[in-house]
Amino acid sequence: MLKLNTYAQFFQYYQLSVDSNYESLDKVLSWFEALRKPFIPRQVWIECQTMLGEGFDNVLAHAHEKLPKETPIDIEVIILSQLIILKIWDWGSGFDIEQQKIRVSQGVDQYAENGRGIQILEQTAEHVGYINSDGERNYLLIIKMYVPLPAISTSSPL
Amino acid sequence: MTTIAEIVQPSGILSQGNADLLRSEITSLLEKGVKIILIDFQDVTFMTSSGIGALVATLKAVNAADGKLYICSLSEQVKNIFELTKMEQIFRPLANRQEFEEKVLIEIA
Repeated sequence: MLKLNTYAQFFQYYQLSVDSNYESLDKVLSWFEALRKPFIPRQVWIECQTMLGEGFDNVLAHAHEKLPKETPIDIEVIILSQLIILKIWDWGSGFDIEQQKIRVSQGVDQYAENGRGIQILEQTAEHVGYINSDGERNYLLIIKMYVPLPAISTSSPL
Repeated sequence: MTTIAEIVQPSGILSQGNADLLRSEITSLLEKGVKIILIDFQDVTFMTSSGIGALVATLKAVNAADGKLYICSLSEQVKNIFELTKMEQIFRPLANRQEFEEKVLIEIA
């Protein structure tokens, strides 16, 4: 007889939709801050905040540059036991992320005044992708791995 | 008498939406003849790489005017973005305003 073992897999999904304006970033960051789990290291969480900020800035500066302010930016956060997945959805015409990765792999000039967003994502995440999902929308996919912090024991020392 | 040192203290989120404001504020100080500028990040809660871009542009303008640019009091996230872009090597952030005052005193003494 087939025996199935089931594991209590940790999986949490969160979603937020905001308007296309710079003030929305404040909302995104406070929302994200409230999602933090005690077993996710603080440094990892800060890096995720930084990457969210880059993804968000990028949507406003490029994908939604010429679109109305009401155009939604959807953010999805999936927290697994050792992975954080961030998705930032836009309604723009898309861009070739692989081309951008090649550009930054040759190094960004220290005195350049822009073009550091992809560099930051590439350096911080285990995987960065940009996917045209349904012919209408795109999403920036960021996968960040982490080593969970041990649970703090509440029992008294021996 | 002209002011030689000025402190600029932005607050809130520094992103693509307002990075240019910081740059123009500092350009106007340089035009007034200010030579030493400190940007105190104490109240900056978050910064994107657009902020780094604006700071690099500002640094170039300050250098061209023979001035000196200092930054201090970075939050954890701002520090993170400085490290990721290797900008801490260029800007050498100071711990706080006190460290700035000590440095400037040495320079103008």
